[in-house]
Amino acid sequence: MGEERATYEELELESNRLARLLAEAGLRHGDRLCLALPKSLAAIVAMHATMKAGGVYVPLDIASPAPRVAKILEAAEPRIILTAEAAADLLDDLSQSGELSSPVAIGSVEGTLEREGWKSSFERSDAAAFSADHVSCSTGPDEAAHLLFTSGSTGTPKGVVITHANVLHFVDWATSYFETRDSDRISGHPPLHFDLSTFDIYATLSVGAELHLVPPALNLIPHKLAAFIRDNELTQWFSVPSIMTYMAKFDVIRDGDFPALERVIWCGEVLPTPILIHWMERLPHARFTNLYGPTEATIASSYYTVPDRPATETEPIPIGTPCAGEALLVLDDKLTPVETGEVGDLYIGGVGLSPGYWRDEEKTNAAFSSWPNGSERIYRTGDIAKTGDDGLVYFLGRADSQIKSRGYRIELGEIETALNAIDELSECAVVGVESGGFEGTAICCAFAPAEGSEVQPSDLRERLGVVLPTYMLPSQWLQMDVLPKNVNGKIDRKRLRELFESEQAA
Amino acid sequence: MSATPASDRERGDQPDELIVDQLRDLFRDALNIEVASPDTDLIEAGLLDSLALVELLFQIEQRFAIDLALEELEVDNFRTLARLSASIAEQANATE
Repeated sequence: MGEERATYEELELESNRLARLLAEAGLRHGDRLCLALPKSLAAIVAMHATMKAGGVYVPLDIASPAPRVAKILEAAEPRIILTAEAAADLLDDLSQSGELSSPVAIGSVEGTLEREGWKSSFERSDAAAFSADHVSCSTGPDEAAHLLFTSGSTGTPKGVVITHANVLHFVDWATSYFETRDSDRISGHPPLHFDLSTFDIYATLSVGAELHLVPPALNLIPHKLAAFIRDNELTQWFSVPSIMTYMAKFDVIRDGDFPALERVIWCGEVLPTPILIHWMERLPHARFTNLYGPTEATIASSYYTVPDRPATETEPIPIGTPCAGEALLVLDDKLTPVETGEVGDLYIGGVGLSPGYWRDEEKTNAAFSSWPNGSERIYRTGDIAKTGDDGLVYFLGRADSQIKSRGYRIELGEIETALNAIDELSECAVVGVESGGFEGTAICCAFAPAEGSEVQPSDLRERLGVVLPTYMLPSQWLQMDVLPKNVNGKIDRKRLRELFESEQAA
Repeated sequence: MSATPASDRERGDQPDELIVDQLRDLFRDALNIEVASPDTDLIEAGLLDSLALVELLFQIEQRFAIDLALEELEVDNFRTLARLSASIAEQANATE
């Protein structure tokens, strides 16, 4: 990334040394190690070193507010936190709230970090004292490789356990399907705490290709993203749809641009068909593939390569057919398959399924079940789907209040929980509204101030920003004296969505 | 606008306080974002994402009657209110 480069030899030797240093620092088989690191080469070395030492890594979003990171630390109970200067302010905040007290050890992937309240107990240069020889590792394929924390509806992020076998199965399928080879030059666009990044990293490294980490600041300037693809002569681009939409809206792709680009892949939410057409018309030499799947089923579970430019702008793009070893099931509420063309709940089975949520049997049992007759585990995605006459599966929406905004998976309940903690509000509700813009679903908040309060959206946004990451903050606000209710006395969310939609239209 | 980082520009060193104040109001009123100081790093503080940036540029065009084109911007041109005010002042001078 940027000027930073490493060869495979350097990655191997550095991660061997670091694995031994981590073991010396107390990391034992199965222990968690939190990566409080920016997207960087150092983070990738640290992932490998952690796994070689038998540990389980937990990538943290260092742009997230400290209270949210604290919840993840409390759940993960790491033995070690690896960090760098760029995350020092976050660690300062965590230290103040007592999250960094022993037995957790803090290591720096740079020089020694000494701050008020905490300091690193080892640093990068300490690894030089250790052997770079091959590390023999006893971790089994069904043991955890990493934990990925996603938004939880009750306000606490939940940790999805991903095993080595989960990742390997997907990588095997993907490198075979996409015919990935060592001459490939592959983008690393998603943040490292996002499960899609594991596809970029491990598929690239498994074939000996080049991984080009995309600096996050480029996301603000679509022209820079296009220049990144062009200048690095990338052969594969993989991102969430909102980034592709952003680039299309600013028309940054020229006709026949990116001549080296062979594959454009997206995942995480629906790519609007007009945007797909925009890309396909400009890049007739590239292959376009939609991937689908939640973190709980590891990166993606189904795929659909678009054969031709869609005929109309309203043609839906299917999520397609299951990847090898996976199953997509459209079931009714008795877990019986529905007929072709009928709408049902989408379940996933097969080799990608996570063992469950980290130390949360209740949530695991609620989402993962057995089918049929206890012979196979299936995961309830919460998505609504149908199988078309073409035998392909089509995504139709959500069964609950989870939304996707700019590719991020967000439980609206997590935002409401944070809002409910604000005294100046008598009532509030958060709904998702299709924006027609590049962010996908817009997060909209309706609120009624408490008696005597003159709370403003800017105040609420600031207060929420203390506990929630930026991508969860509402982009539209509606102040009301009292929120609309349905006949049961519950907040009428459908009515609120209509109100926001009419505001957008105006 | 040139590709030169704002810090290297002679004129960019002194933020125009009037523009900074207007920008602060614009952030509050149009984006619902409170910016603590003219030197707050908007990106590192997580205040500015692509959605907010596009709205911001639109609002700047409306309010300052200048064309601040995204394709000619560097991230450093809008990293802080101070830098952004310098970018606006420069663009206003260029179009006079």
